[in-house]
Amino acid sequence: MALEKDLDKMVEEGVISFETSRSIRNWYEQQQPSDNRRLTLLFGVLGVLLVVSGIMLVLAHNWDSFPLTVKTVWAFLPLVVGQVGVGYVLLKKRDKEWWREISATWLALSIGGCIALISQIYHLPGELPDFLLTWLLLGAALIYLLPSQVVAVLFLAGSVWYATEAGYGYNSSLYAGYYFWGLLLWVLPFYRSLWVKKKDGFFARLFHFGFPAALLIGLGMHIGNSGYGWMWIAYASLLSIFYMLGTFIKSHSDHKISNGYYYSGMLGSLLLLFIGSFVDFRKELLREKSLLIIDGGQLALVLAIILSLLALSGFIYLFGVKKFTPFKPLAFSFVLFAAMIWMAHLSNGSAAIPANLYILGLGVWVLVEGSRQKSFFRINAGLGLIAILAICRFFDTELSFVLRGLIFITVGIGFALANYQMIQKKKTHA
Amino acid sequence: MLKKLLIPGIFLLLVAAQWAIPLDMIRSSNLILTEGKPFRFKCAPIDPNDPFRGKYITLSFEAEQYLMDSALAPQPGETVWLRMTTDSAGYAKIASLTENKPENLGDYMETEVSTYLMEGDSSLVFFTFPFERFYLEETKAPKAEALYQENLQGQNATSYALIYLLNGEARIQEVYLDGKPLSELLKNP
Repeated sequence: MALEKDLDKMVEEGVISFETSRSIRNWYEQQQPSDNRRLTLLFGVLGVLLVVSGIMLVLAHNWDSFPLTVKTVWAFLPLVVGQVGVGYVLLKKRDKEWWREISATWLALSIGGCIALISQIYHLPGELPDFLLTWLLLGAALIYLLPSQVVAVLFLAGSVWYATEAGYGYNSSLYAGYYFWGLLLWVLPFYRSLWVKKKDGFFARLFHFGFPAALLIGLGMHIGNSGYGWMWIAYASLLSIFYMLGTFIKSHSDHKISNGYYYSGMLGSLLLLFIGSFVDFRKELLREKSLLIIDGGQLALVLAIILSLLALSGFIYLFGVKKFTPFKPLAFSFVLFAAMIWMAHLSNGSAAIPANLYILGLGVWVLVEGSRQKSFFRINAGLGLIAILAICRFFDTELSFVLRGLIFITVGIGFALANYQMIQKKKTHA
Repeated sequence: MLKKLLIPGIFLLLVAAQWAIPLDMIRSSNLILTEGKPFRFKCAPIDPNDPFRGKYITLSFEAEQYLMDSALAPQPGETVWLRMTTDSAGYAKIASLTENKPENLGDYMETEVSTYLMEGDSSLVFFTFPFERFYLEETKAPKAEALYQENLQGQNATSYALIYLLNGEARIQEVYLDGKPLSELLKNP
């Protein structure tokens, strides 16, 4: 293209700076329909994923007829191609998004491939978490060096994979949690820049869902043998933080679906409350003798305190300082949950009562709000909460079948009546 | 000027690191095989229900357990160092166990405790040796698995893996069935 050559020449002769030429190119790229650019990138990345995986599988056949050296050279080949590609893009095509993403994705994948093949060829021992960590560390710099959004997303996904392999299960490693937080801290500035520059972009949206998920999984890595009860409080607080953050962003952004914090906070908080509404939850908690041991050196306690304080500050800021309306009762669930755990610890009475009353109240509140706003979705969501609560109680209460049956019939009639009334209201307004 | 060199500089460092790790894996592996002390680990039958997992055979060893005083037994998941010696037939066996890394790693091997069984005052501790996989060409692996299993079922089973130990690390070199290398058996059945 004439423009490309002219721009290169202008940079060479010092007419314009490299940064200016990059801005001009970016401007031209922006002029293309964004769907086209996105599709080209998507298919490019998919192509690279398939080709690199394909090459690795062919090499993984472990060709017996080749001597060791030949097999080793083959294992390094995709890596070398990736390195040469990234080197070329860094020198010549740094302003082209497509080239940056494709070359970086190729190199990022081939690092893992090379290590896996060398392990196979030389019969090297090793566990999956260690392999994943090495792979992530060797590819981490690519996120910022090019920079590459695809590698950042792969890095986040890889970190979560590492967390689930290393931090959970029978032989989970004590240090894995700390490595995982290090990995998340590394990718955090990149997420921040995505949030600032392209907060509704495709990759930013993946991060808006992936990052809260990663934090939730990461927190679970610190569930130790003692102080089990504190982790419930830590989780409830983190979910409340997500919910409030999501509520706040939601009021500032048009892309509601991109709001992973809001949905994970809402669904997670509800899930915890439903778990807490079972009578057996208290038994489960008390099975651990050291439910609420107060020990300064215990990580679960420290996490619970920090997250509770953060949630409380968020709550005061959102509804006290900013006077956010309408009030969101779910944002307060972390306090309720903490109180329930405390009750379970202290008394013999049922700590499940507050959770049941709270969910019932929440259901009614959502129902009333929905009716006021004439929203079918909210009315049914409110009724849905009450219905789920009724189903849960079906399993663990001593209520007679007659009474349970009557409750179900009442909720069912409630569903039908509320929807019928709403349809009538809409008709009269139409 | 400095800014211009920064990105290529970081990239070159990255390339170097991406080469260094796999090359070091090869170097340490070769070092153990050339300078390490060889041990013959007698193979034991594996659970026949354990499904064949792709392109390697899963090995199990007779020396993978050790009877010791319950009070001293390590916990599952713990890293321990085993001092290896040979029995009268020339096969590897565990001479002692320590939970602290020995200063002189001589004939020691680093491994992980998988589980243990209490037998009165004693505990039978089981390990997961770091050389339980022997990779083969994918089309030959099922056949190798069958040969290996068949050999272990026999009356005079003499299958063993040749393992080299150096500085606490172990590398598998070959699996032998009736004194013949598995890779040879697969070439000339």
